[in-house]
Amino acid sequence: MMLMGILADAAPAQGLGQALENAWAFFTTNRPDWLSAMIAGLPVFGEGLQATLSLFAMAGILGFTLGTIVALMKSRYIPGCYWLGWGYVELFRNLPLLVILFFFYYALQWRADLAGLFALTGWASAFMGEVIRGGIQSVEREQIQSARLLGLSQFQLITAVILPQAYVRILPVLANQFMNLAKNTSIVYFVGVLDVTYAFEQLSAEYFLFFHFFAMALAIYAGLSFTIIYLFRWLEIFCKARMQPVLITTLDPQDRRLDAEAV
Amino acid sequence: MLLFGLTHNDMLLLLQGLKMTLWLTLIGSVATLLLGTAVAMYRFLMPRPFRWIGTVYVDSIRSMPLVLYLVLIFVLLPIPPFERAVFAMATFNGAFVAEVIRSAIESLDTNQMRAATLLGMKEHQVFLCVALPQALARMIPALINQLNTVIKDTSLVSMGILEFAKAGEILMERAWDNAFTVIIVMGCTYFVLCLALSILGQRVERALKPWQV
Repeated sequence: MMLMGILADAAPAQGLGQALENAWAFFTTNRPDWLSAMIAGLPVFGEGLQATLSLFAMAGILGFTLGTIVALMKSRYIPGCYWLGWGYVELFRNLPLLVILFFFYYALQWRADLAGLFALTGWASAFMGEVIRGGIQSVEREQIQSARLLGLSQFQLITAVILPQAYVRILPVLANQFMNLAKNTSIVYFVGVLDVTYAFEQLSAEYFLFFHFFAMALAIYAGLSFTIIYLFRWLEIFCKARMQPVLITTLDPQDRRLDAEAV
Repeated sequence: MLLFGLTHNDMLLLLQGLKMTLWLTLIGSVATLLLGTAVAMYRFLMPRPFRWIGTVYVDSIRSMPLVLYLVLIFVLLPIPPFERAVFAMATFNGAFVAEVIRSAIESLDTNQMRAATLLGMKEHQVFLCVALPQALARMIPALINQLNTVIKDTSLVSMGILEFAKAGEILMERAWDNAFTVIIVMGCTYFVLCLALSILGQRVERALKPWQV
């Protein structure tokens, strides 16, 4: 918020000319000591990156776990909780993330980073829950019936048959959700947690080096996104390779016939 | 008039913010849709050597958090706050809309487009009269989703604007005892807005069902 104050005081002149001037300054402002300024900014960015990464990791793990529970509720594997899951998902999907954050920060008066973590967790679990539910419903009925026939308990059915297959099928969509989560961690800027976005704003106000610091912030977010995408792509290949024998023997009708002939 | 500790002036402030949010939503959605269509059209019609500009725009926006983009726009554009907010929302969500339109058009059967080209239609006519109407029925769910995001994003562009979330924040900072009331009023309002849009989207989807190819 510091930069906003400075700009509001320093640049009351408005209009296209000023906009062009600012844009020009954005690309050309080149202090002679820009390199040392960037190096001086590194620790601040490091601190911001630490906050962003830990928020992302914790909200990701918690959100994924909660999302699984919500998905199980909504697909009636946890009996009697359908409407609870429905309400949870609709609530978090239809509220702006900022309002969720304000609920924890202003109404419950929690610490800023805890409020951010819980808001992000709730938000992520609702979106991931819908994705996971799609995966759960794509598991064929024959598999569930045969698992029941083999005498698996409800818990075993869920953990050994349904969830592993559901997770593998939704990996690409899940990657998207994790990427959105990584980008949306920047919401904590509004309650003053020093994350990458806040570091960018503070540093560019301190050194008046917009372009350089913006490039650094963007590089961090883009790097995070790319890492997530490639991690999930690798996970998909790895899981598909491990699942393949099972898939062939159970799903491919031709193979089943061959098996029957062999028997 | 008192409503759970909110005074008359508080209510007026909230209503003023709500009015601003509705205006932002309306103008922002229209601008988003127009820009998204324009970008999709650009990527569809331009000869290959120029297409990368559209791709770079869409991909760089998609890899950026909205808050970072808003800070950037705030630094760069000293135009009036309302216009700046609409600009930021339209340029950010427009990239996603362009991507939605592109994927819907790519999922279409190309025979009709080729037939239209053979009949002598210009490329922009093919896009506007053949591809877009067919794609419209397919992309309604994704488009409504994006417009829902526009409503929710209006809460973030509050830098320099008094919109609903900002009004709520001011009230909550003024009197922390009121925070619970204010957050519930805010939540209900946004919830109703988004839900209304979803229901409208389902209506439109049903109405467009006969168009689906």
